[in-house]
Amino acid sequence: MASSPLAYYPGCSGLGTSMEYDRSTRAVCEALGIPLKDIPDWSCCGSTPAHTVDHALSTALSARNLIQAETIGLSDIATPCPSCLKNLKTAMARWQDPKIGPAAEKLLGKSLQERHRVRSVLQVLYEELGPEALAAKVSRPLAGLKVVPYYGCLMTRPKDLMDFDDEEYPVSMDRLLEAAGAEVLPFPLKVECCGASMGIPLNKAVTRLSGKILELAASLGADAVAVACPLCQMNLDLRQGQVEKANHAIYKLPVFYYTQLLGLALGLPERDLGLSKLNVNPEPALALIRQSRPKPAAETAATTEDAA
Amino acid sequence: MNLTELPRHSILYDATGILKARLLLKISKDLRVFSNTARLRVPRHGDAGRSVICADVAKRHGVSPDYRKGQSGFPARSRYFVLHCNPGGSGMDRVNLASSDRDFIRQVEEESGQTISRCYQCGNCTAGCPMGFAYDLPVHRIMRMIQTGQKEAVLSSKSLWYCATCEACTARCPNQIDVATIMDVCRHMARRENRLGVWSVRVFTRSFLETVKYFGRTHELGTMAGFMLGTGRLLTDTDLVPKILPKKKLALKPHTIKAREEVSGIFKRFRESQKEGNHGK
Repeated sequence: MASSPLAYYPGCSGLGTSMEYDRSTRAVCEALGIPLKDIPDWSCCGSTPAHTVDHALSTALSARNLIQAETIGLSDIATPCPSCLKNLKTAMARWQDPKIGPAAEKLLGKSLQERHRVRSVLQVLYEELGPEALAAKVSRPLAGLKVVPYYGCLMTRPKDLMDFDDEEYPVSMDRLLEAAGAEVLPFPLKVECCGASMGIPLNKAVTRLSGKILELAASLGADAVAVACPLCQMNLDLRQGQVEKANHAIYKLPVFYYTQLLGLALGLPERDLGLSKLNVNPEPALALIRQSRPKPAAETAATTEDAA
Repeated sequence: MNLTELPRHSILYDATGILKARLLLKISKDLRVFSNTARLRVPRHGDAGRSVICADVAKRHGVSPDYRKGQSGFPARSRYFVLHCNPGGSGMDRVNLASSDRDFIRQVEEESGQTISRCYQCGNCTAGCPMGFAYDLPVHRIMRMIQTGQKEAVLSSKSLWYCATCEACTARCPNQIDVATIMDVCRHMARRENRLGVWSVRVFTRSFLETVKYFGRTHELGTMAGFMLGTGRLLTDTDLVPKILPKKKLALKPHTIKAREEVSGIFKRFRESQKEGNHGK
């Protein structure tokens, strides 16, 4: 699948608290033959703070990255982070808005040349590759792992802008994880808010909202949560202790990036997936996979049966 | 808050806020309490300010408010907190239509590109709003107050600042109104009028954007430091420090981009345009 490379926008948290997302995304894309090329000297999209201050400011900050992608001649952009995704897509839409576009152009001092295409890495994996092709490449199925998929609030909405999957009950990550051999549980809170960046100014928001998500995941008997958003992961994983304390509960639920789980299924070495960066100990979940995991064999098709 | 101050038809949730098994207790005809019998919570240090509610509930029932010793006949060792109540839930707050600010309505419509009159008050936005528990005005009431031109009430609302911009309201509006953008736009207007808003949220936003301005990319540690110093909440998330440090994830130094003056230039010109007051009009 030697296709032309995608311009890759890692997002700021990929250099910090979600470095394992960045790392596993790169590893999985490489293994699947999806070439990524970093947008040169990319800058912050402004995230939520910028658009709550001003739409032209947010548009200008995001659009700079689209222009940076133009400098390497790429207009097909992929980012793992839903918040970056939403900002980049919104910037393209607002650039055409006669009230915001010109103001943003004035702030940026540059103009946006062409129409870009911005997608999440999840969308790229789902559309370019698809579950069947992924299943064919799986060498170590995640058999025995019960996982709930959590997409976060921004991955699929607003519908018209994101133009991907179902707004209220997305299934793309479900299908990819199923292809990787995991048992994906139906999860009603797939797109409910985790508390987002309120964790700092109003911690109660996260302990309450992420509490609901973890509580339901635990009561469904999940071994792990799979996420696609760095902020969701931070709230569910790093803040899990705070959530447990506030709700007087114990979950001990590992929260993986879905790319880490796909990487495991593809047989990538664990160090390339940044598993040691997770806060809640992932070992119990990993042990489940190892238990029922067949030895990596030449005929991947045959091994799935042995596992059962 | 005292029980007697609660508006009619308030709903009280128990302390966990997690409703696994609900038991409906009728305290009085105006007040319902949902108790979660599956997960009773033991009172702990720091709850003192809220005990008035339990005591008051207990008093109405003529039982001992001394739940601490577990002697109370009224719901054993469980405590009640007001986590969610519908402010002015009776819906009887008077709105002076003579004070309707037409310019405000027009401005919100213009900046958001939405038609406010399309809202028919179904309340779907409020039903799906995850942050509603922290709001002083539920989002459907904000919509109604914009319709009636109540500029002061809308722009001084705390709800604008607690909105997490999850867009559930936009996604679930049966009339395709982009409610989240309307919240955004109202927040912008409140900022332009230099309203205080919710201080902690404002400081967080500012410290985040300051790091972007200086380095071109967010610096997580810098954002936290800015927040702690700005709010004086020096102990924010210090419990997370021993968890995250060994993971070597937090970058001590910011990741400065080469063209950082490009990004700081955006902020500079933005500030200038705000000063001139010609922005967003």
